Amino acid sequence: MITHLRQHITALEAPQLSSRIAAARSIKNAVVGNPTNKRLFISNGVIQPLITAASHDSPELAEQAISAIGSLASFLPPLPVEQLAPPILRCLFSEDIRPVNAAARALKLIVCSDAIDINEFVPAFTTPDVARRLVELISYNDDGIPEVCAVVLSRICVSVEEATVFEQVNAITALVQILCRTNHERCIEACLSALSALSRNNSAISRQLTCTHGLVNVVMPLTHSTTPSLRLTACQILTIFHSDGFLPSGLDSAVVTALVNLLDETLPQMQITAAFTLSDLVGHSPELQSVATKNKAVSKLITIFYDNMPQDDEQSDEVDMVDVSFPSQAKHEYRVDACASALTALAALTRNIDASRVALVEEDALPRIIVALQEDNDDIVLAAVQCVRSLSRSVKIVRRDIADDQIGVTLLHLLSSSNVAIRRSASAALCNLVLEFSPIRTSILENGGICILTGLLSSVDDELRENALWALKNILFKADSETKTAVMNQLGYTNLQALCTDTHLRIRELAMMIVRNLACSGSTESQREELDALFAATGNKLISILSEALRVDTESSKLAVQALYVVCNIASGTEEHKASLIDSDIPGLILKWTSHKDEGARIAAVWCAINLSWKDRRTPSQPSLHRQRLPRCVLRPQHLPAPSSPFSRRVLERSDRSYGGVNAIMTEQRDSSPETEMDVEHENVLMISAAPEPHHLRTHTRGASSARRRGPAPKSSGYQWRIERLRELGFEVRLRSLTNDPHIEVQGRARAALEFFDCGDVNPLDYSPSALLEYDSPSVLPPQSSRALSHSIVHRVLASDSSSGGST
Amino acid sequence: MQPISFSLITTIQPPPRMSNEEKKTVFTEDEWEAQLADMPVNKSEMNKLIMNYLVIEGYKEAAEKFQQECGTPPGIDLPSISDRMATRVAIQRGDVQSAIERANDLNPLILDENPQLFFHLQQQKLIELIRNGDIEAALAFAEKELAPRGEENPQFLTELERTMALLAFEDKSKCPVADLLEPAQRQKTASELNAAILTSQCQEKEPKLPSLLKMLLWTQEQLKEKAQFPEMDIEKAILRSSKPSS
Repeated sequence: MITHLRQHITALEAPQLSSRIAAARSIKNAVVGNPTNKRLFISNGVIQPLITAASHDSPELAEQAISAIGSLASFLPPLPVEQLAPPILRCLFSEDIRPVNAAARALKLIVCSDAIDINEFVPAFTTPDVARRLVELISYNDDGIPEVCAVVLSRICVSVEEATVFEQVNAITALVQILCRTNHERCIEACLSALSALSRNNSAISRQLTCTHGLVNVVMPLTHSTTPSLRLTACQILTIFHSDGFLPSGLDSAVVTALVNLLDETLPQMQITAAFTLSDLVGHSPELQSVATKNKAVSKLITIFYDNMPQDDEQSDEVDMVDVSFPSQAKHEYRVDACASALTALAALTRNIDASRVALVEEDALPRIIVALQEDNDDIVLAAVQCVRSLSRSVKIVRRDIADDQIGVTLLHLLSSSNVAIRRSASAALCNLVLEFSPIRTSILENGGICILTGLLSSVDDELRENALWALKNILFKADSETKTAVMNQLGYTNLQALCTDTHLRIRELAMMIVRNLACSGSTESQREELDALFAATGNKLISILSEALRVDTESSKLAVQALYVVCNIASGTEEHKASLIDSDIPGLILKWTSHKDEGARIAAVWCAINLSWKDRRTPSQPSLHRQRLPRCVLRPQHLPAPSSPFSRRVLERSDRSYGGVNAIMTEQRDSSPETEMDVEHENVLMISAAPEPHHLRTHTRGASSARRRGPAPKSSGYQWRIERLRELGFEVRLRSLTNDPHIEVQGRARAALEFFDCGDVNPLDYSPSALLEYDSPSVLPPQSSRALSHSIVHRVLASDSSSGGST
Repeated sequence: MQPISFSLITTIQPPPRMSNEEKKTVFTEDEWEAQLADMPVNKSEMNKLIMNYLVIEGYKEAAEKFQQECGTPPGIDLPSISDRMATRVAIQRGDVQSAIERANDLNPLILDENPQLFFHLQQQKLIELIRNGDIEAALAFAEKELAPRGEENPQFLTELERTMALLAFEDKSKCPVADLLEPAQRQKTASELNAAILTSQCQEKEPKLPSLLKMLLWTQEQLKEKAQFPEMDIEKAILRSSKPSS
């Protein structure tokens, strides 16, 4: 055989052309489809003589030689593109159609081969000349060559850059024309794949295809084709149209249904592509997630996930499941991909709605997901982390189902993964799992969570820093002094100050939220201590940091809103705390924010005014009952003094109840939207801290030095002095004009603040009930106003999600 | 031209229940003819249907004549039909290698993209070697060409083992896998290759005409439940007059 083979190779350089053609044909026939012979011929040095032969002027010889090269080059070991490109291009541009056809086929084999790195081939075959030639061949009046060239295009068009080159040589028109002309499914499929490759990440082309060429109406019927691969290809391009916003609503759910049905296909490659496409399609749409869930996508995906978990590989009794044309070494990769694709799709399905999360948990998939978290393969781990992240966005699931301490420990471990996407997703999942109601919060903290998260702050990746700060912020939410001390021992006040003045605005905002949570206590009594500790640790820096944050002049008011609530929290402290604010330039800055266009900023600023002008009449030794319940009744009109009269008591009770109602609504929102969830948690902090606190100093357990700060109140302090200062700055005038603010929340707060300016030493019964009633009437807890209030925060959180959601 | 096979007719289930005969709409022959005449059927569409049948079934000369007579383009390179038919004939007479070479000349992607088809052709080669009693060559061929494919894929291995069982029996007719030596096995391999060639030429694997006729017969059966009309007798190409219900 070997001698035979050498003879063929030698004959490639024979003097007579006919012998050379015969030799090239024999080699082609020996190697096509035959891995054994491919190996033999390559190891006997057939490539170079073939390349020479392929460059010959004889079309017959070139045709045979290039066919052989294509068959060999798609096989291991890959040949360098510098060797392959010249003969292929020479044949592709030949005037005789035979070598052209052969070259196109060879190219198709090569670019579809798993053995090559497509990126190496892209530059040589996407020059304008080659692109023009391929488009010319796509328009060839036949179906074979156009199909082959469309497949080539779909493979070598790997980014917007190549898409632009092809667009400029009218590839789109050519492909659309053939799509409308041909009846042949293979050809239609190839054209759709090529158009998908062109329009991916290129909404201008999507627009052109849908708006100019009306492709949606052409492709939609194909989702009902009897050929599964054609259905899948149709769904892929429709998914691209959907993500670019060019798929009319109503049609999108039909695409979801078609994709979910494709999950039943037995070909692994089909399942994988269908699962990935499904996750692209539903990932950002709760409605489509719901459609997919109703079509039983969750259990289908779980089946794919279970069937392909790498551990099951040994008991590979499912030969029939896998197409026989896949060699067994490829099978393992298919299993890994299938597993990762199923988990990725599950993560997308559970991203925003509880129905799918519950379905996932009820199928008892969580233990297997935990196993997947510990896999060796990064793709599987990442997909599993994303699943946990999606599940962790539901309060119900976090509270009830994510109870295995192993999850927290594994996620912490994954924070040191070498894969940044895994680190990002794991840190995002931890954000939710450290919330106070999470059963695994304790185990995360006990396993060094604070230290590991703080370590992430020195990362160069902004998203990781953001997630770490977010998680620390959530750890500090309603935290006790011990936890705060533990966090600050790791984080350090100097570091926190630096983060508050970071160049990255989002980091500053999150750092400010941490300050805000530090400046707030879950219980009324310890509020002072927290503030003292904060002042002791930061000194005058705190005021200057706040002042700087309030001076930042950007389109977004996010950072300022956080800073305003820190001010609010400080202003709920002692006269000393209030005085340190009044003495600074902060009141002037607050005044500026009362007229900001964002109502969230105006509300926060008016809250500051309320707390700064607050007059407390209660004695610290008699904390009233309602005060102990303060965190729950934060929306109660805080300007209302102790509930001494039956009337005011009734009002308080009402507002307490109402707040309970709102709380329920908020919980529901949290369930449906994770980010909102964080948000609402946050808002809770905000409300608590916004509530003016009675003077109630107690020795705190953290930072001994803070006690020293407490001295006699400055001379120029006290209620009258504060009111005077605020009035000088123009607060009273401004607050009056805010009583006509378009936003009802702002109006109500402004009236509340004005009571302190108006009524001086008023006693509760003097206090005009009309303002109170208005405040307390249905519009007080007014779903719309509380919603509007939360809206701004929701807005912020959602915006932050999109910035941090890159990994999802 | 071969007659079209209508074996499917017998498989059509009679309608599950006959509705009341009285309620059926009755169409007379004239009414029916008028209705049929009203239905515009494009002549060139009909011609395409026939050309599609001729091309896919491989009637090259008929297709050429038909093209000359009515000018309908075959939508394919006509010589490729004879190539395709030649591969079929080659396999049927046991010359697998020449079938492989013809297929490669048509389009090398056919076998490079179908490992399973390539394996079946190699298996057919092995069967031919065994049939010819060239046991040594058969063993060498199985070891060199087929065993590696079997290692790559367990399903191939099963088929290979089955084929190798032929060697164990002196009297092949008593061999449990004797079916591999039947003409039907060659037919099967030839059809698989034919289908792959058709797919590579962006052709359907089956002509449209037979399935259209099947659909026509099915529709008539459905309609008979609701109406009386002159049925189409496809074999005789006539309308059977509708008998009034008795």
